[in-house]
Amino acid sequence: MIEAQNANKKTSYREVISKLPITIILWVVILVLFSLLTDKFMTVSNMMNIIVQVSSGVGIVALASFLAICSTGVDLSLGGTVAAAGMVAGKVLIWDLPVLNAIRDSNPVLLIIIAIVAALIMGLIIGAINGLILSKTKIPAFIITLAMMRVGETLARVIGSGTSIRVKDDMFKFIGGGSLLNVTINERSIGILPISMLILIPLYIIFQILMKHTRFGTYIYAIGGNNEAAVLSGINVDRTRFLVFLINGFLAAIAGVVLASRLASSIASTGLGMEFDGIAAAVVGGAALEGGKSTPLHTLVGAFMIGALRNGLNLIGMQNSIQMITIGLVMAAIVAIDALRSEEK
Amino acid sequence: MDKNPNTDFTPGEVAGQKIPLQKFKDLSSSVGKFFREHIEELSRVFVLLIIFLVLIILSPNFVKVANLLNVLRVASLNLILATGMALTMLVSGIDLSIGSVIALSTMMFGQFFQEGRSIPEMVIGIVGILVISAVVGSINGLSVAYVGLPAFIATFAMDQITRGYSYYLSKGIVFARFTEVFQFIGGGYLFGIPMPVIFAALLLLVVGFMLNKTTFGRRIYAVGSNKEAAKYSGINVKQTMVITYMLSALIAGFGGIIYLSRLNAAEANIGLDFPLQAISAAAIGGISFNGGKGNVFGIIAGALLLTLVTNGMNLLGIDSDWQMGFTGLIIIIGVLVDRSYAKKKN
Amino acid sequence: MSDTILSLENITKAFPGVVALDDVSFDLKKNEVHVLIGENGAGKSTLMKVLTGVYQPDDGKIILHGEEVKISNTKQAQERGIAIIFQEFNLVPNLTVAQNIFLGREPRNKFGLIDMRKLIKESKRLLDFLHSDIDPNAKVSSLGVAHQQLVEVVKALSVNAEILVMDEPTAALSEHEIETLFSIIKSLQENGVSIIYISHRMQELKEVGDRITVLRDGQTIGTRAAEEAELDELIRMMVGREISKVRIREKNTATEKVVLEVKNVSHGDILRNINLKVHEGEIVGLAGLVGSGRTELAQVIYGISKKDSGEILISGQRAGVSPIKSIKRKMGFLSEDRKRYGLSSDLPVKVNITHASLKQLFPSGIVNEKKEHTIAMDYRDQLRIATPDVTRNVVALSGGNQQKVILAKWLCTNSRFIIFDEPTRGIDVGAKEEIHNMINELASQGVGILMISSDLPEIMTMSDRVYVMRDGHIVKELDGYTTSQEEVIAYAVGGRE
Repeated sequence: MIEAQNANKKTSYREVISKLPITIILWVVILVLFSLLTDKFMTVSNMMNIIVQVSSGVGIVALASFLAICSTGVDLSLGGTVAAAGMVAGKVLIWDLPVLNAIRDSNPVLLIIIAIVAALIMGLIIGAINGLILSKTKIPAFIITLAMMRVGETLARVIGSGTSIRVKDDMFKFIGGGSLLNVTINERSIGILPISMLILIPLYIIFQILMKHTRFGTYIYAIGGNNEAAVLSGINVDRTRFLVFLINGFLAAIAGVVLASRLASSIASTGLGMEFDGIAAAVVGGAALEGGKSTPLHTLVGAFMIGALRNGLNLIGMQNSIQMITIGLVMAAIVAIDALRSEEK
Repeated sequence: MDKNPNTDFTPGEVAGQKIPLQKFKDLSSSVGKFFREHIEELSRVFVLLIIFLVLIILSPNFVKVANLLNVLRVASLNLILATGMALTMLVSGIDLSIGSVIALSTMMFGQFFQEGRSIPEMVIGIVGILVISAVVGSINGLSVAYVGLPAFIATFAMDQITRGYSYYLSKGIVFARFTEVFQFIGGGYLFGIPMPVIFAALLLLVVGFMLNKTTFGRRIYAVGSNKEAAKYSGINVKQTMVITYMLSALIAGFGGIIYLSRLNAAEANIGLDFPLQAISAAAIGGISFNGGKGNVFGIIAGALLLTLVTNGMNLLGIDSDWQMGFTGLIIIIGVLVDRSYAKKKN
Repeated sequence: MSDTILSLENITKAFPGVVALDDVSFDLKKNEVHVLIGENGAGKSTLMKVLTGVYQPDDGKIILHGEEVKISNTKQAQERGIAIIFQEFNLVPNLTVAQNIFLGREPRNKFGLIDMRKLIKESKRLLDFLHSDIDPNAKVSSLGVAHQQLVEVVKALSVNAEILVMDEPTAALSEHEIETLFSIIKSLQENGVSIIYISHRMQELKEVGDRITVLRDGQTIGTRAAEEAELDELIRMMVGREISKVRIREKNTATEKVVLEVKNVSHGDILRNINLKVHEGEIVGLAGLVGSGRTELAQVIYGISKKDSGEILISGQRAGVSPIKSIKRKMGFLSEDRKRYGLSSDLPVKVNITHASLKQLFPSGIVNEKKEHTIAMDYRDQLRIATPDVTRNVVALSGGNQQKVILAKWLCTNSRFIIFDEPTRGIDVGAKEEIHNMINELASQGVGILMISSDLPEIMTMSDRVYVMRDGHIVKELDGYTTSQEEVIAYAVGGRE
């Protein structure tokens, strides 16, 4: 029996290792290739740049994508929600309403809090609609969330009455663009404790604990791993799925606020393609579309990989187009490897 | 084997003598049966009629011939795209890449239609667009059928890749000012009927024929209805899927040509909303996401409904910003009403 | 062993068309392993589903610790100390052993987080109790089948089960693993757990059981103490129904021509060195218990699964590995799972009938709807498919008529060799007789038939020859006209070698 036990352990290691090479190879390729191609890549300021870019965008969305994929869904509405929530925050900050004007003059911090809360509520509403429909019917998740993606973008456009809102409030801009500690390297001041990172890291820590140490997280894994067993064990699957999409709306709204703050403006098209980066990050981090795999920390690694890839391509002068192609190919390749491997079994 | 009395279902016929009351009963029951069996189609026609009425009441401009023709012309593009989408949906797939496929193929061949080009060059351009579309569609089909990727992921990734490539090719360039011959495809009239309407009608005839009257149509429904059973019946499931995805993209390319000609311009970001519109029209037309269910009449009803609603919004002066979101809402409402997605109670 | 802790009294349960349990009584004593045997469909699983609250009995009582109880769902059963381990495991592969054991009932600390230490400690305690060294932190996906089953047992114990139902626990286990399982059962017994053990395997019954109860056709036939029970007697009890002696098939119409020849075919552990032959005009029965490899053999012959070695010849030609090629060789296959492999339920009857012969009927690729309709109507009349209209969707038909639609599909391809896998399962008596007559008729027209069935009377009254399978081997070839039910089942369960 001990012998069998050892063999079992070996296979479980092999399972981990079998996935590892792709991630490692990708990292090595990204780091070496871009370091060789440009000396702007491997610098402290650029690394901090990547951290801020990831923290205020794909990082949070990737977490939400991971939650959806892990519970055998997919959430394409994240980008739309990011846009809608960001726009709500921007709108509240500049809205010419007597009440808001009064608050703006007397207590600007309160106004920012109101803006953030309003944005979060926007996210929760979109998430709740997704969750309600997807937990009560058998409609494929990608259909409903695809539709909600458009609804979110439309809301953003309508709220912003056109395209974008410029935010001038310095305190608000500090959320996504500020840093607690700055150092000077080569006569340039670099923030090495960006606020956005200080939002991202705790989020991931919370979700890492949530997934590993709470019933809710265990149930997400259980639903993704064997839905029938989850039902037979008395788990309320519908409620868990609803909560996943609700949380996703909330997370996307946080991303919307941080992004609007970093860009100092709310832009309707800001979320375009973000859900795709999020899925790519989750998948690169080891999430499998059949559900039940990977962890938030793995997803974070994936998010930084996507971020570094985009940043590097940018530095060597490759436009957005090449970035889209590359990320599309990377994602398709990894999902294909997964699919082929599971077919072998 | 002799005849089994159990197979006779209409007792009225057994004796071979019908009294008038019986005849009436037969008639009313067959009318009832017709309604029961076609309840879904009829409900769509009913909804269409209501929207029609609402639009007539709300806007006197609606019933003007010019507007109706315009509705038809807009509907015809929706119709073409929805037809292609419906094919992939019939084999329980989806194609999220149709908009980007159009963008990519037009970026590659748009220049062939610019002023001064000869007819053979334009033909090359058209063939080129169709070929590129078919190739991309085949890759979609191969990765879904043979590699085993979920359709929405495979085609979503393809959407990003082709869109990215078309941005790369365009470098911000807009092809405009096409030849008059080319503009005729999307903007011309034949016997007073807009050309796109004629193309859409032709396409529907061909696809309708294919679905209902050919063995390939039978294979599509078989695969969509039950892949395993189709395999056990000796149907080449994977091949059927690849061809279907190829056709879907090909039809999208065909729609793209008409769109291009009508727009008289081509840029890399065209068709962003096409997949959603097409899915929307197909879904409310009763094409099931689970595959194997739906027909061309549903597609027509779905595309018309979508177009009428959009047209109505235009007439009522509703901001075009709202319209994209509305397409999304329509999908959600469309699938929520469809009983086949209801969860069974334990 | 004295006091009875559970008794099921006069349980009756009927489903539309069948009485699954007819006045069944069963009791379980403390610390006892009570074995429940019977053929497929004898009512064992239904009885256990009544006990665990999946079904409600139409009549009868469940008495637990001397008190009448009502159990309306599995959760209530668990609360009363009754747990069941089903044949298919209900574990989540990507969670750890400990997480699986307490899934849905995780202990929590004062912060609302899962109390990991308690989770591991409790799991460890339960595993130790069974003398198992499985690491509670190991992922279930990394465990072998036997260990997974052990986790199931532990999961059942974690609800403090006093009564444990095990449904065919050895089906997926190797010899060595079975021994481990038996030692676990022994230690459970010593610790006050009573076990209801469902099995087909005759050899293990006496080793593991204290008493053996035989069910047949939804009735209790008798209970024997394991020490005194004779295999022959148990087999007689299992099959000893009064059946009409009338053979449906009276005359062997087999010719010399071999239509199917399987030579030394092996497929993993499931099929080992299979040899069999079917002649034109012959009905060959393939008997054996569920899990003996019958369906897998059919799938290999039909080209759904690949064989590892050996040779399959259809009418002297080598068979290909795909249904497409098999159909070209004039082979047909009626699967045991009609819904999944046989029919496109949402499509019309006529479309289903022509599915396998599209190329043959319409070589131009264009469907001649008139022809399609006529063909379908012909088969409707010939096979008496009870539908007013062949444009109706298959889903609206009864089970028997659906089976006839599938048969029509294979007649439409002019099949010369047809595999029937459980041809009459779940089909009402009238349609069953019709289908038997059709199979007989087909054979007399020269079609070779391989008929897999768990329904012994069906095998007995229909077959010219019978092969009996057990554990992936063909253990015996018997003459269909002279053999007896007892003989067939004795080979199938391993009572005779």
